[in-house]
Amino acid sequence: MSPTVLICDDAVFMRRMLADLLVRAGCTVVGEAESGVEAVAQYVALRPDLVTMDLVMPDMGGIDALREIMRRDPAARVLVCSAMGQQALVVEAIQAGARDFVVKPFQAERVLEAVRRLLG
Amino acid sequence: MDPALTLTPAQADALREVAMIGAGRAATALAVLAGHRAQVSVPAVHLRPLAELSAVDGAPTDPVAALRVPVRGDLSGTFLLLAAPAVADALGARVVQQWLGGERRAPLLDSALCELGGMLAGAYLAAVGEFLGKVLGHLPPTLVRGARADTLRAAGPALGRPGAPVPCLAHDVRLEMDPAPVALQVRWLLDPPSLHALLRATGVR
Repeated sequence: MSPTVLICDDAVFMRRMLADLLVRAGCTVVGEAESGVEAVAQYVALRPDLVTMDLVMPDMGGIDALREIMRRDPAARVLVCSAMGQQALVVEAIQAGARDFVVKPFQAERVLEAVRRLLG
Repeated sequence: MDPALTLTPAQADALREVAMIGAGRAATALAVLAGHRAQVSVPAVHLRPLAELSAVDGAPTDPVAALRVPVRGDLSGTFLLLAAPAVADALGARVVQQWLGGERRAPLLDSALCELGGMLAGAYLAAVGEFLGKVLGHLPPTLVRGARADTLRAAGPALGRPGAPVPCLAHDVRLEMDPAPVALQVRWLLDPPSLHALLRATGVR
């Protein structure tokens, strides 16, 4: 059974782009979220093997959603994909529980390498 | 130097350098996303009321497509990416074609443009933040289409008193698209406290 992924990004374009990459990596996209609130709800409902998380989203940002997911499941595997690549924010995301941080715009291979490593 | 500026020469020079740092990182992001070479102009610094600012780059009634990105963090304001509507449409289509293989449905094009605005703003602000030792972030971008003056005016309410000069770090980008290069305008409108904080961070008096 292929690993399951939840994609969290407010831009449909980015969700499509990541979905294409993740399917290419052999994953199954089981859900998509447009906001941090939806991300948490979808995680609880789907319990995916991996989450990709944007940081800048309406309602609830990605960092807060990440913290909430980690609170509910300390073993959650979250890959942050964000245009906000400032070091302080990367550190904050990692300290909040993210397993890796990919800065947009990313090279496809960078995402694939991160996904392969996180899914073992 | 812009004759309307009341900043000292050293301050204006420092602001242009800040803008250049942001512009370079943003141009790199744009080039990756669009798959074409991007070149930036020498930045300018403006200190004019919004009504006058809209006339600096073209006619206030010019139709534009604008990506509006509210800036938050240690500095605030509004990051704007402006283009002629046809340029914006072509750029959105190019990004979709580059990354998704050619689908051209309208909602996807607008989403691609918003994502482009977020990436450029993110790259610009990350570079500036690292340079100044500030933490800068932004809210989700919105895509608006309308007259240039209206677009700038809509970015204005949080930037100070109506009619007051608004600090603006400005640069243009030339993207080497096929069949012809296209021009984009990047503007960071600052609120006055952020201008002062930015100047303090540069250490220039």
